[in-house]
Amino acid sequence: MDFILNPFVTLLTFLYSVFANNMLLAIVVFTIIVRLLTYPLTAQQMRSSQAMQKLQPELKKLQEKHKGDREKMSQEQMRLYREYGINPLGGCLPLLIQFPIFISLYQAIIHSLAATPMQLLDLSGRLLIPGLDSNIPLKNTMLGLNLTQPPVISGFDLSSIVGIVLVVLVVATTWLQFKVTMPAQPPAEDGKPNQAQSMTQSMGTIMPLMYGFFALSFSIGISVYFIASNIVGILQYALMGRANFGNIFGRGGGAKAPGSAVAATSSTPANGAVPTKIQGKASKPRAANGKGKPTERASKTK
Amino acid sequence: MKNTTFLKRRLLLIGAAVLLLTAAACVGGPTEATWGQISLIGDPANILFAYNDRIVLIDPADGSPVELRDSNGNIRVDDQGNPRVWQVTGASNTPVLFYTAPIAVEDGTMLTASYNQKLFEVDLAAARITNPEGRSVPGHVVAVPLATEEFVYVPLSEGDLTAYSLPELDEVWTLETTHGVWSEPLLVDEVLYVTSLDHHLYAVDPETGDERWTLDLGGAIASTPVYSDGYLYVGSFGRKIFKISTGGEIVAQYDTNDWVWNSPVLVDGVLYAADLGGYVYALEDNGTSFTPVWQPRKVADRAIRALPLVIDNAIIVGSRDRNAYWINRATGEEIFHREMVGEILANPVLLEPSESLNISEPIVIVSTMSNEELLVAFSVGEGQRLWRYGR
Repeated sequence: MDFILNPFVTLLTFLYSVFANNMLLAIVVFTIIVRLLTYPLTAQQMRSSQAMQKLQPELKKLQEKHKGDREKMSQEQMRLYREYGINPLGGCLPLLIQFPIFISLYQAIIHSLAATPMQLLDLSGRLLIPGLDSNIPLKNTMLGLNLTQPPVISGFDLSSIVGIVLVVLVVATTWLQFKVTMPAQPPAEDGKPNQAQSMTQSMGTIMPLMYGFFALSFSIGISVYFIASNIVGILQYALMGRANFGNIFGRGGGAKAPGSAVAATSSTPANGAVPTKIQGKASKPRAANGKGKPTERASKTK
Repeated sequence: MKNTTFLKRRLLLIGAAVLLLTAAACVGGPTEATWGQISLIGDPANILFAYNDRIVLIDPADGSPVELRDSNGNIRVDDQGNPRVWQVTGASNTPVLFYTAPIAVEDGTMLTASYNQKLFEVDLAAARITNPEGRSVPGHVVAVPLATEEFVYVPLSEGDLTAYSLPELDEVWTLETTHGVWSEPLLVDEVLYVTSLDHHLYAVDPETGDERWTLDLGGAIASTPVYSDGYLYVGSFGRKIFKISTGGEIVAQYDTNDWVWNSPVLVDGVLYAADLGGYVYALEDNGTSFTPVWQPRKVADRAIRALPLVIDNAIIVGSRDRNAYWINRATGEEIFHREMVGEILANPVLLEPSESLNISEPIVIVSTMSNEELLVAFSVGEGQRLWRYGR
């Protein structure tokens, strides 16, 4: 991981010196830069997951049709994926590539703040630009808070109030990001939430609370990263036209298609119809035989 | 029916998450191991080794723990009748973490500083802490405090150096720095020299803490200056080694390849130092400049934090690459190296031959971060492994 971590530590230290030794600002800008650099991967992941989402009704029909015949079911699934030019692993790969990057981003903040003797020792040799050594150790206190320590909430003093605000912001932005980036799922035919919706709603409650707990346990610097990362994530979705703000007010389910930009290009409602344009590349559904002739089903959707 | 299932699933999920969070909260974060410190105590000397959560006394002849004896010389036993060894640990409700060995403050009493912001008094004869709650200090302690007859100066890794009166341990004065003091202060001719990670060397009045002068060295300093003939020598994270007059003027400086964490060693007018890039230096002090006796040599693959140990013909350095190197003092060539189990970060200690200790040749004690080889004794001449102490 050093080949990712060391440039990140160098970049963070550089930003720290550029922003007049302001570690908070350095972490925020650092997070934005890394999120922008990984944007193509994020976009690919979003496209892929939304395409998969669109195919759900079709997949569900297949499941019902081939109940009990797994082999036939998987053959038909693959055929459907080929037909619409979808790689079923297309959403996982960008996620897998991003994973070490975001772990390194998190590690870079911990290493740069160097809260313990071993961390300070580990910091040596990670700075790839000569002259940045003069910034070491990075100033790790801001607004009376030690960025290397978890928030201490012990009363109504300034540091406690700032600590509470940070934790609340972490919870709120995590919740917001979850809601905004969650594709809407149509309810079951009986109008009740389906199983996937139910699980999603549970996650929407647990995840923000979990991050709130992390904010209380981890260093304040990491909380700043959580907040910045969540906000950038929301903005990225919004700028792509894929943010589902209706979800915030509980109007997401079935009211608006997941990835409205996709829906707009295909002029297809999200209530189970199959899109004709799922990914940028796959403007036309391809035939199962690969010769370019649309299948009957695909043609019908036009 | 379906709704009940959903509700159950949701409750199950939330329950699992709460359980996970509670478990995580109870376990807490991992405790970092310390590099510890070896010192010699008593006559004949025993090895006092403070590391992680304990302080132990080791027999230098064979590396065995020293048995705890009463005033009549009888071995003390514990509640189960087992013989007790000399070992000090913190109370169960007051966790301790030692980067530094205890220092003698009065007959039979030692003072030890824990990383966990506490000062403890240790009864040497009984091998126990006499103030189990400890005296709180406003910061972590990474470097050994300095004790005089009146004061103990405690360096704090978060910002300040605080002087406490002895034996009361009342705060007398505080020297504020912006980034912490990670080195033992040096007291010379009624001046206390303090280095800080805030890039400054401070010269202060040891009675009042009043600053006499400060000097910005352009990089963090984590080591104690070495004093010789009116000059101070110190290395920095700014990749430099400095010679500084006691008036606060830089007289000479030398560029290193990496951060210099530990103090240099001055022997016969030559300054020996090592850096975190694994380089070793031998610099002749020419008054206003340094001249390398041999070109800086990359000895180790990883950092050398420990103080170089200079003996007759060799320099012994320990590295994070888990090797102890014997370097030819005249040429800088490696003579041999000895591989060890753990990273070497603590300063090695030399033990001279002693009849009372049953040691016939000089030995060097090297400490590693591995519990398997906490201490290893080597013969200085041949590097023969004599004994090891582990857990």
